[in-house]
Amino acid sequence: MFLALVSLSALGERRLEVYFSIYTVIHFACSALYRPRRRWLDVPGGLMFAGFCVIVMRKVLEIIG
Amino acid sequence: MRLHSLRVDRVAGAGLSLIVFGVVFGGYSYLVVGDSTYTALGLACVVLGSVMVMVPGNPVPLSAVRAMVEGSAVNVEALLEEYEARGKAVYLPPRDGRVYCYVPLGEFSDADLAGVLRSPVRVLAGSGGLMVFPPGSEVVRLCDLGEEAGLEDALSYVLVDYLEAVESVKAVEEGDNLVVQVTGPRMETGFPLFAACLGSAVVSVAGCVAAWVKGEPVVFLGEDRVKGSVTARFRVVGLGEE
Repeated sequence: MFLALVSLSALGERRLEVYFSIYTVIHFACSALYRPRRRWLDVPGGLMFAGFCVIVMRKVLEIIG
Repeated sequence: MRLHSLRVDRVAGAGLSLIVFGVVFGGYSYLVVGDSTYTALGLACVVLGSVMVMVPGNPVPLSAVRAMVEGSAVNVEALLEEYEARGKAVYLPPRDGRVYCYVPLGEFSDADLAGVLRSPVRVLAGSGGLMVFPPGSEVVRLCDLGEEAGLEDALSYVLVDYLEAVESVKAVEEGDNLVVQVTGPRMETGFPLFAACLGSAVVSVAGCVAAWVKGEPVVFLGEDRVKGSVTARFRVVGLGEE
């Protein structure tokens, strides 16, 4: 995650949505690979997925509008 | 399912610190400094911190848990052999937070259950049967199932998520009868009397879950194995409110 942060900032990326989307992908990829045991439901994953959906919807509305 | 109580261990403490730092730093970077890179750094800290909080600090290796469950069946097998028990076990609703099993030594009817439920927990429950402590009982207690948990959800949580003892589990209830089907069982006891009286290891755990969730005695009727799946039959004995 920090590697992604350094890489994106080195490339001059200023949009927060890009960082958020990449973090979401990394989170789910790591969860699928390592399957960590959890105390409860994957709340961070759920929130990140919801945020990702909001970002995608906003982009779609931008394109349509 | 009830929320697991958050035991503040070191990993969770570090996670909470990261969350607090991330929120403060990210908020300050976004609102005051207006820099998206630092905001992203704060966001990354929040995400990592929340993952650290959600992951238990010292998980016991699953293979060790399964080995302990399988190994604890040895004592039960020895008891069953000593008393030549052949009856089908009745998984009793939890007492002092633990599910016990009553294995009748002879003829047994539902009417005898009321007496068994009232009697103290001793190995020899009167002259009628044995009271044994099935391996799955402690597993069910540790899972901290809520009273409002549905049966199939509880079975799935214990057998698939917690123990990873099976690949999938389905439960069908028809009146008093309960059929539980599991696929890909990964735990075996290899003890014939245990399997005959209480069911195989995963079936025994399923029986404990059923007794816990239902809050009533659950009689093990039998099980069938077909190509990597096990189908167990139970009967719930409704004793009603006393």
